[in-house]
Amino acid sequence: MVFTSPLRRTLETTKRLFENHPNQPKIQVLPEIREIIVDAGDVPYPWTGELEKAYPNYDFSRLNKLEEKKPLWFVEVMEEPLKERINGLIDQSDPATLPSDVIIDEMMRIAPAHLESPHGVMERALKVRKFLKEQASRLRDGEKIAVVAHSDFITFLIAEEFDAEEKPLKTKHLTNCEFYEYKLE
Amino acid sequence: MQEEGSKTITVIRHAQSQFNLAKLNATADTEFAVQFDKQLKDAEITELGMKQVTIQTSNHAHSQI
Repeated sequence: MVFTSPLRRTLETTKRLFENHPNQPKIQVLPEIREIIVDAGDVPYPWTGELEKAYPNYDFSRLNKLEEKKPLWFVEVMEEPLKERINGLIDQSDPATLPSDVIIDEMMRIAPAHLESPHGVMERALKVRKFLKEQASRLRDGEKIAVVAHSDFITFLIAEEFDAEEKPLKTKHLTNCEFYEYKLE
Repeated sequence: MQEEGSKTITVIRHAQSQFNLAKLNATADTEFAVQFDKQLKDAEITELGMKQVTIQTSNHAHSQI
């Protein structure tokens, strides 16, 4: 079983890794493991369905559950009250302006501070851990889970501890293509 | 079913992207522009990065997943 972030770089990495895998694992797209929004490369374009056509064998059901909010799935994953603030900025913006650009404008306005707080990301990572543990409990002998995600989010996902500011401790910052065996507690 | 508590999952960071390459090549003068360049959002994967993933991780992943 493979879980992949919906960003292009993870979808494509997953394809290259697993399209010829002899076990032909099921691939589920998991919006909750998208990268922390720190710079422009972390802000997707609004979802158009183009990627579902590019990756026809992937399971996009967790994105589909968002229904009319699916185009801005990356906002839906944000913590509150940030999500409400960003949706408000998008609603107030010129309709011709891409919502992704509204987010980047806000990132520039508050830089060097970041949009997403360590607390919000930690909460998201802990929910993902719980989800993965549930999925792992359903595996049969010999089956395993792979997660294709992003470096900053992974530091939260695999952290052994968090400090007083809820930043990850005892963790690892993976380089491109690096993998890590994480023990589910 | 297996017992919970002893399972491991393989966590993999994606391959290189154009955005990562742009950041690598950024100078002090262009760093801010690269960070917030709207043309770089949702950066496309480069063939360079895909070669990395093929060479470095596929064998491991095939043996583990």
